[in-house]
Amino acid sequence: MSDLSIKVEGIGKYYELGANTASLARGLVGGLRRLRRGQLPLPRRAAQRAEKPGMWVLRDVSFEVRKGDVLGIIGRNGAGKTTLLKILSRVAVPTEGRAEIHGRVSSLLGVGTGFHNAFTGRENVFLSGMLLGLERAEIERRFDDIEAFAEIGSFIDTPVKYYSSGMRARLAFSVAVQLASEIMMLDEVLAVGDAGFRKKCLEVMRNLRSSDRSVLLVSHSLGYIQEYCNRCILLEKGRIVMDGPPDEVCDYYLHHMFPVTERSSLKDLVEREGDGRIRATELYLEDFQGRRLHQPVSGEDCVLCIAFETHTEAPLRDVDIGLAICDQHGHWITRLSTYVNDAVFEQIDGGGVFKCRVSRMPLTAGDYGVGLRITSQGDVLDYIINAGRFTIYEGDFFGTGRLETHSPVLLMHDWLWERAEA
Amino acid sequence: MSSVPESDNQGPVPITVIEPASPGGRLPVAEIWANRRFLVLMVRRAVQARYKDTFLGIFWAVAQPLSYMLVLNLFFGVVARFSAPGIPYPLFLFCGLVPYQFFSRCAVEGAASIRGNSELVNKVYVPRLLLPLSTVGNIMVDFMVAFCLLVAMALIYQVPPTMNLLALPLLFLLLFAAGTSMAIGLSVATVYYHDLRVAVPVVMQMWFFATPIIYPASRVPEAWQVWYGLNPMVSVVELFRWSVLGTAELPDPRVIGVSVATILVVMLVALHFFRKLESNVADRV
Repeated sequence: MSDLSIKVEGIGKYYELGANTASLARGLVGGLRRLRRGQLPLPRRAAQRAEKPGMWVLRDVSFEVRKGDVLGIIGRNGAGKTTLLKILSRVAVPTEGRAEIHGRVSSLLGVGTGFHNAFTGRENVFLSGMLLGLERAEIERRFDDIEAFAEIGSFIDTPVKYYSSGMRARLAFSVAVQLASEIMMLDEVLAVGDAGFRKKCLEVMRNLRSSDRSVLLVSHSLGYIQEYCNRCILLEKGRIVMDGPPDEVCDYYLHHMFPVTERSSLKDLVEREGDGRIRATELYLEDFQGRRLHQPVSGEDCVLCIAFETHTEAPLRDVDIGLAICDQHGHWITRLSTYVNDAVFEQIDGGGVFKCRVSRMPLTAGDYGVGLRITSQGDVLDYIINAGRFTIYEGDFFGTGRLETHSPVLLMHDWLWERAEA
Repeated sequence: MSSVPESDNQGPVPITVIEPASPGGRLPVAEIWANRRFLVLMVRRAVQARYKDTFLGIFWAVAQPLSYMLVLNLFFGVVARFSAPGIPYPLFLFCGLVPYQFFSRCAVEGAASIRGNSELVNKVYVPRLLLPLSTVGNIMVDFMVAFCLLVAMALIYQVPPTMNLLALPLLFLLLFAAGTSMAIGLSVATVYYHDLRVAVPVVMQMWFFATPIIYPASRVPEAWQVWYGLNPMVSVVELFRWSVLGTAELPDPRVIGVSVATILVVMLVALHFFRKLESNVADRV
């Protein structure tokens, strides 16, 4: 027998815009109008509706998944990742194309996870199992494993509506894993749940890679994709842009998919102070290899670059640069300056780029603002309070696969236990 | 602890083909059959929730139609002095109420069955037909309880059973066909026309008065009888009285014919639209 698991051929999905606004009133009016024209008062056929504005959220998507594959799907918001999983798990119907699914599918599409709210966890396990086509006895046989894996304790007999999102995710994931469907489709499920459970899920994912089951994983955390997938596809505007090894695809995604508009041009900015002998023209990020960095990640090396021009004949002496970094609420977090670094430029006699290298970006995911101040021998040359903004994305700062997302700053550290003397 | 069970190799791996909805749609009869245990579980759980998990349990299933009947009896029987030929008015009332409530709840709750389960519809694949069907199954259980009550009431009023009772299975079939058609049709229609969620209960309230529940069908002028039969519940209610109470005379066969035809048409229309529209439900819920 072949080891084919999923075969997708030219899948496309067209969404009509405004399709949700149908109302009874409009339907009735349309029906009456058609009656008056001597037509049957039935809703218009799809063909007649074809001119309705809409958009292809997926187009020409083709790929194959083999048993044992863990396929990562990445792309920006709205690229069609979730729609693709919805189609493959038969929640939504494609507009064109064809897909073959060899095996039973467990899908975890987001936090909702498809439980019946009024039913208890136990009952939902049975419902899910039955939808997978399993016999009651079969589910009973596996029930203890599911319960143990989910670790939700006595909540198993509580209606799901009282569950936290973490508990829902735990139960859903353990149903999917333990009921042993051949294919699992996971959409951002690793984003919920606590660290312990996440670790357990990741362990399972690692084991799945060589089993006869296959996984489709949608995640914004490129770290997970790179670590747990053996293949990755990149979606952009509903099309597959790249299909290959996760490292290559993620790298491409980070370096090519972010529009240049994210750099901030300061050339024509008026809200600034200083005598203007130096004018910063642009603020942007680079990696240590000098490539533009559009999606900096926690823990990644990066360079803050300030392009500038000089407007004076005389060389500038003792040029001191300060960059203030604030969080999204405007709270000052830290300052990077040539002064504290004892790196004041003794003489500047021409334009160029000031580069400030930051190893292992210690900020957690979020939006940050930058303030810029350039002085020479105490005279302010250029001073811009809002010089630019940048976004740091979630990343594996500690190199352990575990993310710290709640604190604003990340410090490299290690632990040891000094035993009390007996 | 986090070992991964291998998938079972019991039998061949099922192959599912995903394709665009065919223009004619499909009616997944085989799929419904394959998921019959899911259906049973859904119904059983819903019934349990109402009868076992509530404080007074089955009392509510009995109290709900009974109290409704008593109120109607107070206003129409005692105050307004409605009466029915040869039948105690409360019994007459109840015999109409039991099938009508089944029908009306099928419409109202069926309309909400897909939209109200967006959590399920949007997140996992459930053959959507299961949702209105499980709603109907659930209402059917209540109906059976109410029907037993009706039988008990007939015994209390010492109504002798007649051969007409033999027609009951057919009547049940007719009633279930009518209720199920409404539930299926409205479940998918409500996804497209959100107003229906509000409109259906209002319509069902008016429909109540268009059905011979508080008055006998014979009160409707002869000339309108056939048109009156377009409301399928007219025949269903009248036939129920004829069968259970044995006293009322059989309704005009033409009226029955019109009602049965209406039910068939409603059923075909409901299934047709369900087939056509079902596939896009997740895009709109």
